[in-house]
Amino acid sequence: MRDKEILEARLSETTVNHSVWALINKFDQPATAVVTRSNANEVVEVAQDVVQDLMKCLDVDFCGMEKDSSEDPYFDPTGTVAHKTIERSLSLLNEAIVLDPTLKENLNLDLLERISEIPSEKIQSLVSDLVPERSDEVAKVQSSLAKNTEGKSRTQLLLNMSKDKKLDRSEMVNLLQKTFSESDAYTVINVLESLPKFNLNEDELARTTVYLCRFKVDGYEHNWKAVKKNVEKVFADFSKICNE
Amino acid sequence: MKKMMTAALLSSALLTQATFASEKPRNKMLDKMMYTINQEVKVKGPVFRDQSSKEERNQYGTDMVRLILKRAHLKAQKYLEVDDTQAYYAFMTLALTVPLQEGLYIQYRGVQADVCNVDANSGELIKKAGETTHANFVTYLMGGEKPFIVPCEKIDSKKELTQIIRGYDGSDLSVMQVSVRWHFDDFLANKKFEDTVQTLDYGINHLMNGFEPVYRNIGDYKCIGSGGLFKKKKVDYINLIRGIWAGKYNSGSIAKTCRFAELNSEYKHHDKGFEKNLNKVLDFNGVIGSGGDLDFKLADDVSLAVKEVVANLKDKTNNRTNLDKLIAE
Repeated sequence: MRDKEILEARLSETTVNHSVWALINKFDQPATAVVTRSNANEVVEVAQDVVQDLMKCLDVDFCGMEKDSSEDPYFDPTGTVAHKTIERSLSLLNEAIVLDPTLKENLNLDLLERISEIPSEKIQSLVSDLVPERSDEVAKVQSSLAKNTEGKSRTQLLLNMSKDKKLDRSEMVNLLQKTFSESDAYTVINVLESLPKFNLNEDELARTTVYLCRFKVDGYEHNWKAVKKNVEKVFADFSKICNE
Repeated sequence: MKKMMTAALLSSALLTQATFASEKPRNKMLDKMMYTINQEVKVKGPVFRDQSSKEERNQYGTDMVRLILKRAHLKAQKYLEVDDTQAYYAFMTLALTVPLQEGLYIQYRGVQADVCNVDANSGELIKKAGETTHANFVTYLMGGEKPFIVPCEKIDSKKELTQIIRGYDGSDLSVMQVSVRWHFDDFLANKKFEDTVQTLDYGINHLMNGFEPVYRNIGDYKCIGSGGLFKKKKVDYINLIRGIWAGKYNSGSIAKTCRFAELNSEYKHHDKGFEKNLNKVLDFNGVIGSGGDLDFKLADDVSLAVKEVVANLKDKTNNRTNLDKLIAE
């Protein structure tokens, strides 16, 4: 059976027969080419149905995706057809919201909260882009993202938070501090590569970057070098913070 | 991204004699490793002609390696920005090795002979790789107003054919051997196979998606990062290169990074093959390739740049006059 048919067996008949499912599978067409104001409403509904159904099988058996054969070692557990279909659905969802922002009210926030737990940087970044602005309603989704994101998706979340005028800035700074003190080196350095974009003031820089000193003593020299060089682009006094 | 299974055979292949007086000799093993491209499609990038002179074949190799160095530099330069030259040269070495391992440094082949493979070009061959792979082949490679691949009856073999390299079962495509089953959403959907630069960028980007997280969280990979409480922590950059190919590129996951170091790995032969090609790069002395008429004597400027990459990796130096000149062109 083809991967598409395997996925369709996990979706409702209504979804599979819907025109939006066909648009989701037109990977050679960007979201901007297939989502219009007239179909945006349907896109929001069907794309979320697809994601909801695929979420159920993803953890069980990658929705039935398997390697080609035992001779072929290739299998990406965060890049299966189910993952790519979820990414595509979220992209279309995003485009629909851009075209008609009132459709934000139709977002299934419980679903977005659950999707943000999928260990995929691409999927988490797309969820983050769907809820860029703080409100009481999306707080749980953003909280889940803050807990689960790593690497590029953590950077994307922080960037969205830094641009959010409705968000208390201290929330972004606190998450930055938490990232610097607890996250793995890959996540920390990925965030640091975007540090100039957060526009931190001197006080914020001093408060947050002190947590990076752990890389001087705990980690490998190449990571400490990357931490130092990236911070010093925006904070010349960093060397004093870690007694360099 | 699977290994070219016939690389060992090709490495000892010589130009064969022509069957007819009018036919130029060619490397007949390559005939079995190609899809023939629709003659209405114009591809972008150097074209390897095994029927051409040694000088022209060497020029092809020079052009391909020059492209690889330039494209890999764009991804790797962030390491130079933080003074991490070892990471930079490790990534550059990885980028030089993978297209040799995967596609013998060949993306497109130009040939004057009736060599269109009927089973390959009809999609019959790729059926053996599975229904999804076949479906993707039909949709993305044989579909559209101007299909990339057409059945052989639509090919005029009196004119030069342009071909693209494929894996033995047709399921991997291009010099980076990108999987037709798994990489449909971007590589196939956006027709990156029509352009050598886009193909290289796709593969190099995939390598970096493995390189960076492994390199930064190196303590999780005992086959690459060593040291403990009282010993200085070290990175084995050669093992890093081997690990990224074994894990992210060949297995699809960085969780398999240390596969090459496992004594009882069922994919030992894959990793041994990669090690051989890595050693070709590390021992580079002007000529590189998969052997015989698929060896390329690189022009001086590119040759010197490759030697700088390798020497800097081995000696932990950063002498890059020739590399910088090449990149700036």
